[in-house]
Amino acid sequence: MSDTNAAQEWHRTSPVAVVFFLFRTARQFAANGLPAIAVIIAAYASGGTGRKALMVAGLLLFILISVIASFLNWLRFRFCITGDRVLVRSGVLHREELSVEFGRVQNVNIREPFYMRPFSLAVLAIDTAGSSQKEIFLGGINKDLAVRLRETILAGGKEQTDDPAVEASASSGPTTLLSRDVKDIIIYGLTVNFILWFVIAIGAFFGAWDSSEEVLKWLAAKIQLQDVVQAAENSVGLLGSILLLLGLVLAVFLLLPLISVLGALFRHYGYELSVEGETYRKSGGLLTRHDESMKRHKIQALVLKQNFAALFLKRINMQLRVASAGSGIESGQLPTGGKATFLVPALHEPEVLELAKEFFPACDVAGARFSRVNRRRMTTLVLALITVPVLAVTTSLGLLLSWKFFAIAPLAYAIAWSAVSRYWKKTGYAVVGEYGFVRHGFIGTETTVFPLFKVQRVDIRQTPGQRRKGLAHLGIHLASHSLKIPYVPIEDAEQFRDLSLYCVESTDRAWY
Amino acid sequence: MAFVNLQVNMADLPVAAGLEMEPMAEAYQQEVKTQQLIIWLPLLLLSFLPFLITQIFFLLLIPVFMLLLAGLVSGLVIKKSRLKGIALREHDMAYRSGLWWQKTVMLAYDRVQHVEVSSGPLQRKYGLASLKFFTAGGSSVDLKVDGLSRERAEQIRAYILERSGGQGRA
Repeated sequence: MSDTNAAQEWHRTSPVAVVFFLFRTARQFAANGLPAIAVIIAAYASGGTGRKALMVAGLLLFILISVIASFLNWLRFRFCITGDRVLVRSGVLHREELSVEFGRVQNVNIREPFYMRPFSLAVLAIDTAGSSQKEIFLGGINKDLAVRLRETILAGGKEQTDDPAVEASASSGPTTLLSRDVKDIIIYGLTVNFILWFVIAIGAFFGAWDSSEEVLKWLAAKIQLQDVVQAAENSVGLLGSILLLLGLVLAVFLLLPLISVLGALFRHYGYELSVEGETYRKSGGLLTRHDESMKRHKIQALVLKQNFAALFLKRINMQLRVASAGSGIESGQLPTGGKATFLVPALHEPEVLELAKEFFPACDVAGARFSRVNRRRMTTLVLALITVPVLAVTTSLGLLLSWKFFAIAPLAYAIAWSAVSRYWKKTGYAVVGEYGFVRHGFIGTETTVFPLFKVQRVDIRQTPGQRRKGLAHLGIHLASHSLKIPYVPIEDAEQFRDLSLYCVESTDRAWY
Repeated sequence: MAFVNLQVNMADLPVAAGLEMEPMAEAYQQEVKTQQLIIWLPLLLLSFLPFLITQIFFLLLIPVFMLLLAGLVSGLVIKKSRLKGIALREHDMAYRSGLWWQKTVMLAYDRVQHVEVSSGPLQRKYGLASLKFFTAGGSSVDLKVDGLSRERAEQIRAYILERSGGQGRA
């Protein structure tokens, strides 16, 4: 154990890491050049032999450059573990030195990609939080070393001791809290993305965002559909591209559930959640095994998601959220699969209560009595907002085509009204002891449970109309995400605020 | 009532509503006015252009409308700047802003990661500064307070840093 203490020794990763860098380059290229790839493929299909040969040569050259770049990246990559921090030197042209204190680390994950497993190597991903979120990857280090490093980092460097007595008392061995079989994971795959098909079907809507949905959103922003359509039209003609489009739509609807289930199986096959002292660990994965750890005190909030499919299957997906520097979409990066969340999939209700007790021991999840927001005001506002478009559409259609179209108006109001009451029924807030609860939903629900003392900031917003009616929008900002509750009675909003501030200010416990 | 099993009596909590808000520095009004002038004056001059080119008397209506618009918008902006206010308590602060959408943000000093004081050329002319408070998660600039006098901004920063734990304490 003393070798980790022999400070300031710079290590290099295993040569297998060249493959790791190659994969990263490929992923980055795919992320940034997706529309270009689609156009190139279409151009290849339509080009002559000469052009094809040229393009193949270009591709080979590109691969060669990538391989050399990956090799250089590996050659230049060094890391060093000192008593309380990780240092990384990397970069070929642009040299970079990173230094991360153990105490700042949010999450340490070990991944075993399929190409590293035969060499018993692993990737150690060190996730930090802060205004500039950086994830450090030590790709291609010995698996035992990775496990040991994780222990050291999670212990904050302090408890790195040779005293066997301390070690024995700190770890009575990991206890398995939960394991999921193939059926559970399939159910998770079906439940997590059902809303996604829904979103595609009726456009962006009151959704519970999940990382896969973020990927989709990001894809939509990235791909210039026109380019693709143009390229397709050039190669297969108009009729062909219409057929292609129809086929694509059909494929999307039929294949998405399948892809979703397969994705879930790849990522979470053999899911197991265990606890050792204060550290939670989950592992799973078909080809690449993911092994993620998190300290209990890093949990900022617990999110319970139950969408339409999950409601039907009577399952709930749980996420543990840690501090994040916002989602990557704004900064144009590919979200790396919900790095700031720790997933516990496809739970039955008793399991949810049991696990919530485990993560937040003092919290009585079942005891939450949700207050509802002001319905009348919300309904009036929504109905007023749709009045102009509804009247415009019905009168123009009714006068121009047939008086029967006037029937649309009451129908539209009925739909809007039922949608609002649906939303109203699912939206609520509660406080039990030192924990806050916020629930949102439309068809399914998403409930966030958080310790009040971890609140970062509270705001209350009011329009003049709301001031008259004594209502407000309450915003609660956590280090992991923000919550908004509309049309809360002002007294409740103020009490929620006062109580949160009291909990923040009367404790010495660190939120991070 | 949605609050159950509380460990404190709600009536004993310090109430944040009805806090006495300290308005922004007086020079802030001047700054906002100058700002509006800088924005609207070139637009107003430009709006004479159609008339000058075509010599059609009717087109003089454009500068008239522009003047009305400028007066309305700057009036609202100035009124908005008057409504802003800040209140410091022992452990937290409140910042109120907004004309129609009135928003009050409350931030505990212990959650402040770092504080930034900045002042642009116009702000420097009037001896003003902006304070930015950064907290964890979410948007990068969490709370920006404009229109403080330079000394007051420095004073508040010192006051808050003294009381904030932040990550530096660990």
